[in-house]
Parts: sequence; structure tokens; C-alpha cells
Amino acid sequence: MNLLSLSFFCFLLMLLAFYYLMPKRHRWIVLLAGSYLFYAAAGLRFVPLLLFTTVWTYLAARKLGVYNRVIREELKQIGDKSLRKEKKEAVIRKKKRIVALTLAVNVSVLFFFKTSYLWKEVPLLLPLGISFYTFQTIGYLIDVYRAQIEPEQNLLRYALFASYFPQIIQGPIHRYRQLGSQLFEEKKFSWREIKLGFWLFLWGMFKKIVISERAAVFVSHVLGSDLQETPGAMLLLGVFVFNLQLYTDFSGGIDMVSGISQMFGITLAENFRRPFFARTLGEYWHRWHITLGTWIKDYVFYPIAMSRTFGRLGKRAKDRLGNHIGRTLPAGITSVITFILIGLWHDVTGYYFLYGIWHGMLMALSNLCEPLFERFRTCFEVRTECLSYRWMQRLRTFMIVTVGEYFSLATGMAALGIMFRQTLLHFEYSSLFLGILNYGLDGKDWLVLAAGVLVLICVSMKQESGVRIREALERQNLYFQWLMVLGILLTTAVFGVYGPGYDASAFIYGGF
Amino acid sequence: MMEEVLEILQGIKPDVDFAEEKALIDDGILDSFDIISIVNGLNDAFDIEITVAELLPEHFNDAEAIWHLVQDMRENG
Repeated sequence: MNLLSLSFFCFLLMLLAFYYLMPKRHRWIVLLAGSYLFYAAAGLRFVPLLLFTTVWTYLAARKLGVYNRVIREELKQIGDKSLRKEKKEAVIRKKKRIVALTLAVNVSVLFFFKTSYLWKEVPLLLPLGISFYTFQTIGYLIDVYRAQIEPEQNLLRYALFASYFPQIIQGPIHRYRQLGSQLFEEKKFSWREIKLGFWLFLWGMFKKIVISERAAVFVSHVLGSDLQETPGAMLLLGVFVFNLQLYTDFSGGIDMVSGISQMFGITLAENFRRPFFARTLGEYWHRWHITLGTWIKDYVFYPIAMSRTFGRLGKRAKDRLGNHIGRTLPAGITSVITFILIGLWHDVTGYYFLYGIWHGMLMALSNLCEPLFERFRTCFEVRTECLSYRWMQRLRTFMIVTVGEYFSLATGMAALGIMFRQTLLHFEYSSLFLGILNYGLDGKDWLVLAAGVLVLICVSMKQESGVRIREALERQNLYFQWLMVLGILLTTAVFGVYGPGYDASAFIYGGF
Repeated sequence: MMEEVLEILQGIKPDVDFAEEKALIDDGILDSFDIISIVNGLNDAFDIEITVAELLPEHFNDAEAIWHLVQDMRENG
């Protein structure tokens, strides 16, 4: 269901009405029914798959909960320490078998759909949000395995956690302790929450329709042109604009669904924190797709980096290469592995593999070489806390991310080679002035795009300095608040990009 | 023992005042590389085995919480 369609607005209004008319303790049932209705509207044939994943992980988590109780309560009664340890290890082995089997099934289903284009002439249509609900349910299962949470006893309540409609399209990926309690809390109706949610929705819509969709026209024209003939400067600008397109599409979509969720009194996790203000690549990944980063860190990075094998590796490296290398090498290697996995999750092709290598290697090297950088800064008396240095760091991080996007945008190794060759050897910066209007956007479009970006930068800078935009707007006079709302609505209506076959629900990450 | 914990933390991140900071994780002062280094340092120094299940923000947000985690690990394994 298109988030900007009349049918979705009717659906949302009816759901809000039912939700707030229902007695507080039953409101979550309305959300569950609404979530499944929303999912069914996106593709009825995928509902059984969502149901299967839900029931499968629910049952596995219940079983793990039983074993957790055995360890916590029954085994404590055994006086003999070695017998207790032996019994505990036996129970842990059973827990591991359950987790391994459940994960194998869930990951196989995801892998099956994500790789269908490799073995089918016509690739299978990806079920809406399959990656996001798979990751979310896997996280839940592992948290229960680690005894960090108690398993949910009620299947329907768990089903709502797995399918909550605002976040199923493209995340954020939630932990059960983050979202679970909010879904079932008895919430009062609040005009303020509805208003703030609506404002956030509008802001996301502005980012998506005015900026991202316009940027997409330019990017598709640049990348769709004959790359051999495209000047390097134009390609580089295309990749810059792609960064902008991706960010405003993804974060705009997240703002829209977060706004919708806020209308129900449920706060979704923050997924973007102005990533292009990051001063290092590590910081960038703490600001970009935050919930995926946290998920990968907790369920992939730490288990590998803290494994016995990597522990031994660290000790050996410490003995031979010193304390710093010993401490950072295991995490560095794990970083490369996890970024390769992130790359392959995007697409199982060689170029995304390179994307993972690029980010992983740079993360690892920046940590491993930190003492060298520190020595350099001391030697040359580099001031690190001045404005110019901070902006130089931001520019450097942006460039690193941009180069990474070359790998993700290339349609093949040959295309990747041409893109780099053109950028490095045939830059032709004059093409930026002479040929910029030949790639789908006219002068007016560039002006609108530039104005949109300016607004985005101003808002982002305010947020960076700690201003909460919606709360600040709330403190203004009512007529000013309405003026802003109408301004965004009008701007989106007049300057939004609505080409033929346009589908505002087609978020880039909705296809993951 | 608390001094030893502080010494390990200071060795990994010399520019942080661990005696004062109360939101090492929540404020993003420690990143995942630092956490791995800290866990390895604590495991070696106190002969414990901190597992992934213990990697919760509340266990690493300040030096005192880390110290409590070490104590707990030593007592209950």
C-alpha cells in the first residue's frame, strides 16, 4: 500500500479511530489486525511466510525460555558443583541446537529470496520487509537464548512485534525490550502525539518527494548514459547526488513511518543521526542505519571478535607485535568480515563484496594505524579541535563513503573500471557547467534541488547543535505552525517529482 | 580491584576520565573496538570469561558498573 495514496490515508484514519476507540488494554489487537491488513495489501501470498517465521521463532523462543528457567532455578538446587556444571552444559548444548536450527531455517528463507535472481530467469518478488522482520525475529531469539529477555508467552502479542506495520517496510530493526513494552502499554489519546507525528511524516515526505525523487532522475540519467563518454566530473557528481538520494529516500521513509507510529503513541528507534556530519568512518556507521549497525554489532561482530579463536589470535599478536596490535587486530579482522556480510546482504555480487572490503578495511586500518596518526598529529602540531579540522574530517569521511558508492552503483566489473578510469583520468570539470542540464534535470529542477538541500542542511545543523526542531516549532504561535505545515504541503505538491509510473511507496530499502 | 579496572580502561582510552564519565556507551565514548579491547583486558587481568550475553550497556556505562560486572563474574563464573 503506497504510503502517499488515498487508500493508505483512509486506512490510517480508520485504524487511528479504531485504536483510540478501543479500550486501552485491547488497543494492541487493533494494531495487529491493521498490521496484517497492511501486509496483505502488499501481497497476500507473502502472509503465510510472515506467519511461518513468526510461529517458528515464537515456539523456539518459548522452548529456550523453558531451558533458561531450568538453568536459573532447577540447576541452582544441585549442591555438587561439578554435577551442576555438567548439567548446565548439557542444557546449553540443547539451547544451541534450537538456536542453530531456527537460524538456519530463517536465514535460508531470506537467502532463497535474496538470491533468486542467480538461479531464476525471472527473479522472485521479495516479500515486503523480509530482511527487516527476519533480522528482528532473529535478534529476539538470540536475546532469549542469552537470557537477556523473557520470551513472550502470547503468540498474538509476539506476532504484533514481528509485523508492526510502520516498521515492516524498511525498519528500523527493533529489539524486543525497545518495542515490545511500548506496543502493549495502555496509552492515552494525545493530540500532541498526533500533531508531532504528522509533522514528522510531512518532513519525511518532503525529503522523499522533493529531494530524493528529483536526485534520482539525475542519478539514473548519469548512470544510464554511455559511461565511456561520460566525463569523470559528471560521474563523481552523480555519485555525490546518489548519496543525497539514498539518504533522503531512506531517512525520509523512516521519518514518515516514525511519524505514523508516533500517532499511535509508539516511538520508533532512531535510525539516522545526520551521517554526513560524521568526522570518521566509524562515526558515520554510528549515524547511518543505526539499528542495522547495532544489530550487526550485537549478533555478528561481538560473537566473532570475542570467540576463543580470535582471543588466541589477539594474544599471539600482542606477544609478537605489541599491545596495540594485539588489542585491535581481532576487532579489525572481524570488522572486515562484518562489512563483507553487510555488502553481501545488499546484493550477492562481486561489487558489493568490494563495497564491504572497502569499508571493513578502512575501519580496521584506521584503528590499527591510530598510533601512527597520533604521532603524525603530534609531530606536525595539528590542531584537532578547530573548525577547519573538523570540516576537513567531515569532507574526508564523505569522500570515503562516496568512493564506496562506486562499488555499489557499478553494474559489473567492466562498468566499475570505466567509472574509476573516467573519474581519475578524464575528469573534465568544465562538463559540470556545460553539460549539467543534459542529464534529466533542467535549471528549475536544480534550483529546487539546491533549495531543498539548503533547507535540509539548515535543519541538520540546528539538530547538530542540539535544537529539537518540532519542539521549537511547537513554541511558536499557532498561525506560524500552520504556515509551516501548509508550506511543506504546498512545496511537496508543487515541487514534488511525480513521473509516470511513480510509486512513492517504492523506497530503495523497501526492496531488501 | 577498582584501581586495576581503571588502569585497564585508561590504558585503552587515555583521553577519557573514567572516574567521572557515567554514560560511556550511551554517549558513544566507547566504540565496539574499545569494548573488545576492554573485555580482553579484563579477561586477562582477572581470569574471567566475559561472554557476549554480558555485553549490555548497563554493564559498561561507567567504571563502577564494569567493576561490578568483574566482581559478579568472579563470584558466579
